[in-house]
Amino acid sequence: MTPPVAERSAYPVSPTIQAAAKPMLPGRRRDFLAGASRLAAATMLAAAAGLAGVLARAVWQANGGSADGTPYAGGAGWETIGPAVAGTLWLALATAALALPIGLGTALYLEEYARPKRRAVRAFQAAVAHLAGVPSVVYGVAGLVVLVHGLSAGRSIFAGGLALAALALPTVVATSAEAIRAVPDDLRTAAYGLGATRWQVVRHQVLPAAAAPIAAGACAAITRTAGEAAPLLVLGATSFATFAPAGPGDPLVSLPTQVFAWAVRPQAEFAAQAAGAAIALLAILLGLNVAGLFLRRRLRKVLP
Amino acid sequence: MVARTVTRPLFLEGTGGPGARADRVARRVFLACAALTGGTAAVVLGVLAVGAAQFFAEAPAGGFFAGTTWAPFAEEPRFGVWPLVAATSRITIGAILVAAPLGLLSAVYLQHYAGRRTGAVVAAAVAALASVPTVVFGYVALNAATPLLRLVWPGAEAFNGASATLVVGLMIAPTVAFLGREALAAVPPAYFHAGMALGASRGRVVALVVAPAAARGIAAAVLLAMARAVGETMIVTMAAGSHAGLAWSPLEGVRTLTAFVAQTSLGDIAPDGPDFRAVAAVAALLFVVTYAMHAAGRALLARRPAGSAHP
Amino acid sequence: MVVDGSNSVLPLSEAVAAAFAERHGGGRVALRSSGTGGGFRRLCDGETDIATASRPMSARERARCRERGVRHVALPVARDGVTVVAHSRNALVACLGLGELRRLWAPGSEVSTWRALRPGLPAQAVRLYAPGSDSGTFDFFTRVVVGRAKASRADYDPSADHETIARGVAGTPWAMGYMGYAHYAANRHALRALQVDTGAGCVAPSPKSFADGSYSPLVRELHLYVAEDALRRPAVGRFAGFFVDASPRLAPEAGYAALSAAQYVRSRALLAEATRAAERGSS
Repeated sequence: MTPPVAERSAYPVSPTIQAAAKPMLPGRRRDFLAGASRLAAATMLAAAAGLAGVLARAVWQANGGSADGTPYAGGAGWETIGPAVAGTLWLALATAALALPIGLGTALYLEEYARPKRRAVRAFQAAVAHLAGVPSVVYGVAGLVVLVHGLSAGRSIFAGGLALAALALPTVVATSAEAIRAVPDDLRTAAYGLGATRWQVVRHQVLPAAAAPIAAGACAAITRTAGEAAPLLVLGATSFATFAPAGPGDPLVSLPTQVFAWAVRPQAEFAAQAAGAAIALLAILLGLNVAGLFLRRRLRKVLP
Repeated sequence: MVARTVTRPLFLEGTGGPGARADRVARRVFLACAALTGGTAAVVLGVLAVGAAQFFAEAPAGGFFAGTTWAPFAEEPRFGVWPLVAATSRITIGAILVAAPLGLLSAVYLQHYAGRRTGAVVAAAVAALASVPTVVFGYVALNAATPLLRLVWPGAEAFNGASATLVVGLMIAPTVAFLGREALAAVPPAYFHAGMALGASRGRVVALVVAPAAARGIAAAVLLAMARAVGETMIVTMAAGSHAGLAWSPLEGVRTLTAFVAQTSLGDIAPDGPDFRAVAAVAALLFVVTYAMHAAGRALLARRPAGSAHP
Repeated sequence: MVVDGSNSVLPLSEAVAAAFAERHGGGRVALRSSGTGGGFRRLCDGETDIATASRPMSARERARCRERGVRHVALPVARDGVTVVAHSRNALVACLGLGELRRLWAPGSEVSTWRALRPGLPAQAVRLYAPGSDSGTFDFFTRVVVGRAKASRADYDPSADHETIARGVAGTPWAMGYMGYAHYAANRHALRALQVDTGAGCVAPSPKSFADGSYSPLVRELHLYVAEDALRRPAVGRFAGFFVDASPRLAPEAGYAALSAAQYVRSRALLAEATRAAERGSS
């Protein structure tokens, strides 16, 4: 019953120790964690598979349709999901365009320019980091008051993009700062020793060395916010649109809010439509992740 | 988080020279970015503070924190937030009871038991679950977990705490697994080897040597996952219902803090109306609670055990 | 164009918008249902072009609209009855009187079981689902049943979405709620509509009883409120006109009662007049 421990461990145990340990405590080889941890891992696998199965089954069954159908269910085709797909892509673009530069700039200021020992700087940094733990729905409430009612931005893609960018910002700042901090100080010491300015050090040493993890962190943050429904619901997302948004001023539609709007309806047609939209959403998020992975690899290859 | 000591030598500052102008511009741009970030945070905080202040000008704080009836839009409004807090607490505690064993045992599996290939598969499944948007989990809670639950307990209501709790637990389990594994990995391998050398089984070594050494990190994993459960909105909005009374059975509907905010906003929130004041007060409470939990979790993470391999 | 307002009208608006998009090659319509009150508020803020409504605009809302200089025209498009529903297996109750409904829904009502509502019924708890306070259906029901708009007991499960109410009642034994008839019609296999005794015997809700007046105190006309300024854009006028013209066909399909032909002619005339007024205003 002894598992081939040395092959399976993250920490290889030398065969000598194993051999020595075995005869010392006969009967103590029953490992209660082995079964339990395998069960947990299997549950995780089953949960992931089950989730995919639930969505696929709903879409699959939609072909049957029900006799008591409502006249306004459009099916999970492009006419119904298309506007939401376009909305989500717009929102992801807006989040990237706003949160990435501002977050990176903030991290560079905090890490490279601000005096690191100042208490105010540390407090600011900690405060921004913990904002990442605040629920997204809270950002929706603030966005509704400031963007929709204060700035009269309407319930638009623009307002949604700003709210999602604000939501992604703390995470982008935190991951960028961490990436910048991981750049070896030797690079900076050497550059400053040659009389370089801060900007030159940032431009030629820090940014190239930290580009890959910065891109990875930003991509994760953007992917995360692209799946958010709660802040957009609070902002007042449209629940039915016959057209895809073509610009930031168009009404706010998105896949996550559309999944919500259809999933809460009791009819099977809408469940199928919601599942279809959910699959489209997962595909977009996967695409964003893969794009981020490529970007990261590119950036790593280019640099020393 | 150790403050870096290398900065540009002070005697070089303000000396002009090549690139000084670009440096000044860059500094201003980055400072503006930092100001924008700070400004965003201040605006979020400001909105909640103003809304909450308006709310408490109307409803006494004592009634808010001690009252047991939440009916802010009734003709004679009652502002006791306790039912919402109780619902959020119940779902959070229930979810962590699901997620902590599931996530921590998965972390143990990945760190100490998995072979290379099966480990990669399980890790991929955990990462996939972690990246699923909560609205999709909400769909699962409403259209899969609830019907299944009603097969077992036909008395369960259409919206109930149990299926929401279960699915929130599944949603936060990857967080526990990921952070828990990091905590286990931070324990010096020597601890593990020493334990194994004494002849204890792998399970005993992990449970009695590695896990205690990783206790802080494990506690942080659980705390941060609970913070996510408190702030989770879509699953509870869709599947837990809007019953603002104090429910005792998990098969009944309950309304959490986040669900109140989201469900109210499905109507229309006028910025000068009672709905905004109530929503802002609840959002402010959520803000304070999740911020504190997140800060506490991060503080635990920042202090690694002595002799850690990853300072 | 942006349309917001009553959740009771949503099934009709969705059917009309889908038909309009089909006819006019993707006419640009965005719908949301924040409730009648929310729809009026947004219309008067100039955020939307059309508000759908399940109750008339109140004096206060009218004043707010005037204050902001938003002129509008109200077009009746269909008739709908508020439908009281119970769990599909609840066969013990077939009909409720207005007085019983009033006792059940009045503010501070102590009626918590079916037996307390009517002796002889089981002592099961009545679980209540109903629209939230932004809803025109809520305002209408409370005004007709309780006597004052917005006067309701508060310990029910509110939702801005009638489909959520339908799901709640359908999935909770001994539950009860009220909603627009179209939403009941879309869930009729899962719910049981109760007859209502308005004083002249029990009447079941149906497009027929809405049209002939027998369900009358609980029947309301559904309206489009179109902002005059928006009518300067031809697309808005075209959509509003299409809405009126398509309603006689689509309203019964979506579970409403159509109005009389004369009423649609009148709606058309009102729209034409408002369009002329808008054009005069702009020139």
